[in-house]
Amino acid sequence: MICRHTETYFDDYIEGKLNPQDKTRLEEHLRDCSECREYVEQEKELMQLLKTVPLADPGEAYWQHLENSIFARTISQPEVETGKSEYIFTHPIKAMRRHILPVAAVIILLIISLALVESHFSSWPLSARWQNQKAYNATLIGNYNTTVLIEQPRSEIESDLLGSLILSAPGSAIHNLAVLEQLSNLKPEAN
Amino acid sequence: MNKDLEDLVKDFTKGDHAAFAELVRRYKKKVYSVAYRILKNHLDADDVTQEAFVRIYEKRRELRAVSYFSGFLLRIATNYSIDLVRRRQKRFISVEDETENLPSVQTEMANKIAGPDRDIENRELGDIIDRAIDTLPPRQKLAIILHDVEGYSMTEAAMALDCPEATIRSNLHIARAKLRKWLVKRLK
Ligand SMILES: [Zn+2]
Repeated sequence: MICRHTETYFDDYIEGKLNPQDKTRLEEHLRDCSECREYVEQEKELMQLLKTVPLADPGEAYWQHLENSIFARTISQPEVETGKSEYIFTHPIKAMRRHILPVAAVIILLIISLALVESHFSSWPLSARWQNQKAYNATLIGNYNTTVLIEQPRSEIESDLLGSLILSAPGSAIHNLAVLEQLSNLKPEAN
Repeated sequence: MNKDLEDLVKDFTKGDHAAFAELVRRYKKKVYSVAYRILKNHLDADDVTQEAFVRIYEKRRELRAVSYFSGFLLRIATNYSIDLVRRRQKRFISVEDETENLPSVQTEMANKIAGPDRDIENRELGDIIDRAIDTLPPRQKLAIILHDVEGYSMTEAAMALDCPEATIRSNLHIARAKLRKWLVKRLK
């Protein structure tokens, strides 16, 4: 049997949360009491072992896919309270208005024109400029079930932009997921 | 973006999308990892991770104390994981089975992505420890996963499991004793 106060203080001791007096007291006790010493060593050893259980890491492609799926279900959704689905672009852009507006404007225009000519074109290229003058290419494919592809460097704003794009595609969840998957696989194109 | 956590959570509760995106980036692996350890399969872990973030997003206005964010997120993930385990047990009583959920787009998409790849060196030992943890009753298992395996503090684990720290402490002691016995038998 180990002494009770060793058991009480053990976790704080391991976590380094024990105050100096208690720590000294425990360490002095461990010097004198072989049973407690053995207990602490065993516990430490076990905890070390538990920490070696390999981390689950399905890889970068999955993490990207996961982020996109979460964004598609949260920040890319229109606010329920507003109920203004025709202003679908307004909200996600608010936070990033300064950066995103030029790109979004072009995209909105394209979506509108695409809607007008939906049966006549199957592919519609789009170029837009970001604030730092890099070119971004996007292609709208298909008509009503539009797939929006946009190529741009990875950036913090990317997900917000993607969020708006996903909303612009009037498709189902299936469709949105497919779009997200394609988007997450895209690589930035050189200028 | 290098905002500290407190500012991020504050902005998030006010509805800032960029702050939420950053929180997802910072916490996704942690949530996934806990879920994977509880559920032991990629599809469910994926489901739990998405759901945890969606739910905390929906409840962002109720998140009063900023310091509760990780504990709260962890609690949502843990509770949902336990739900899934229970549902699975109900459906497949006493059958040890790697059952698949009803096929959906979600699962099909997730299926395309391979599950976690463990390096072979660690796999054997890791599997043995995994199996040892699996023999524990739920509360002890969760305490071990959160505190000893994933390295969350006693306080965070207590918040996640919605119980006093003392309960986590005693669960850990009992669980470690059991694990030691189990492992000694198999490793030596
Ligand atoms: Zn002693």
